Amino acid sequence: MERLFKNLSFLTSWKFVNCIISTAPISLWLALLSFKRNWKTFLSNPVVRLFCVFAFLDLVVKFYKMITSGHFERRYMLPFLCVLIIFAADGLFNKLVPFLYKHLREKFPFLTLRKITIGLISILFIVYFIIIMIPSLDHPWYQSIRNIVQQECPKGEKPIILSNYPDVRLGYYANSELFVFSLKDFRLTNKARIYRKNWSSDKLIKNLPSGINSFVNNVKKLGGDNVFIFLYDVKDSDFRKFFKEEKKQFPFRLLKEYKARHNKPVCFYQFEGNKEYY
Amino acid sequence: MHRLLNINVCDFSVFCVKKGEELDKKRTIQVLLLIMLLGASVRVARCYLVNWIERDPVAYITMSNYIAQGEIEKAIQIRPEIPPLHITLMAAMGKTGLFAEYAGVLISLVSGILIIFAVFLIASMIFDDKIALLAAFIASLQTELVHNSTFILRESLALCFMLFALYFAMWAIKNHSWWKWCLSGMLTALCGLTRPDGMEVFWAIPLWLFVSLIFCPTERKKILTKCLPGFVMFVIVFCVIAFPVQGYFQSYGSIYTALLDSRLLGLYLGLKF
Repeated sequence: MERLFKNLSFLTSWKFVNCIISTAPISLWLALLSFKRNWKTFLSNPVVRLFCVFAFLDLVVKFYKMITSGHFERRYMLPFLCVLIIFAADGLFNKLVPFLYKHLREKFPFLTLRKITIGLISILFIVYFIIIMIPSLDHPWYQSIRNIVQQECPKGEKPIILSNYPDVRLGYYANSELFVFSLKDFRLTNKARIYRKNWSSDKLIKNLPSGINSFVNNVKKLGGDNVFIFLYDVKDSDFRKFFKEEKKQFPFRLLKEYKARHNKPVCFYQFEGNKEYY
Repeated sequence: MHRLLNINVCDFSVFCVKKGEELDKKRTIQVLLLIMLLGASVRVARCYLVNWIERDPVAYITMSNYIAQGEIEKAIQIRPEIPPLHITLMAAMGKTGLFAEYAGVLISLVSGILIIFAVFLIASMIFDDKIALLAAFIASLQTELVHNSTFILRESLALCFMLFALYFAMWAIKNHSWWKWCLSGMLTALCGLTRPDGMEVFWAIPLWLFVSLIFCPTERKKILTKCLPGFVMFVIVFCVIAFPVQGYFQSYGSIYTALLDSRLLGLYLGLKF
């Protein structure tokens, strides 16, 4: 019970309402128009009643899910969205079109019900089509890393990626082991997990000391040229500074630099295992 | 293409039939096919506009690869609470030589296109064909539906099963036919095996019976004599399909339960998956 109340605080951020409204504002509005027009007819028909009961149950279950887990995504609302779409079509055809016709008839006498319907459908088509066709190329590095690692990694050795960004997809795309470290203490951990199973083995990083002074030695223990470093939201110059302050030679080779959202820098390095470092 | 389909592509007048006029059935099917073609092309185009996958699919792909190699226990260790149908389908397609990532996208794509058809069927049961076509048109372009039918997630497949199960249940209530109840039970079981949300159809029907029996006294007799036996058939078919699969995967260490969302139950008990 305590847990339930604790999670109710999520209500204040209007997560649930926001999820419904932002997913399908047009459909929601049109569906409400349709439902307001003839909810009595809907509920008196046993077939439509089942549909409405399903929609109600879906909302209740999703609401419960949000309260208990505190985690909610837009895609959880898809079944409810389909219910909305069906009522929205009725709202558009039987409510919005006659309404527009009634009010626009005097100003624009050439308008007919047919013309208004075709106009509204075209507007819907244009709006949806534009939104769909906006490319989503947020993470350009995944495919690129796959190619780079294939080219640069010595044959026969399994690549290892060290990163400050705990994302299993790095390990998946590069087909490599993945370890996470923070730039505060340079301690290698195994935070990138897919649920219960670790993405990579604990054996390699067990008993390795933390700190920038032992970082290069740690990397050397893991491997040579097959070790790569992926840094998210850290500039190349800032990373070099860490080594400069400690008066150490910078042991990594910058392979590629990417730009993430809001111009955040993303750098990808390879460890130069053959050189001697002090 | 428009010659093949024998209709005028730019002709949206089908939505604007005057009052009293009925739509020709042949023409309705033609326009529906055209809308599904539009939905399919938009979804395929969308596949090329996204160059990354979500985090969850990494688990699904790994699991399906293990299952394709015959190591079911290893696969289930990754996420023991996950319903098995989606990953098994991916594994089955993977066995034919298709890369698991593409298999996942293909499953989502096909089910995403079928969702348009399901929306049309349900809408045509509630309203007339014009509105059903309009609903199908909105479903074919609705951004959230399009986005989800290009990701390697279980949503698209589960939603497809869920809507068809709901459609057959609604049809069965309308016509009092036992085989439609059976079909609905089968599809609900498949949906429950894809995503735990599928159980909403299962629980919606008893709730509907309860609401109808209490608030609509005129329908009571019909519901008790015709819908209740149908619902029993629904439950029997559901159990025959869902529980053997559940038992099979539980023998490999899965904690998936067919009737209740184990994650919801777990969250209530204070466990975290």
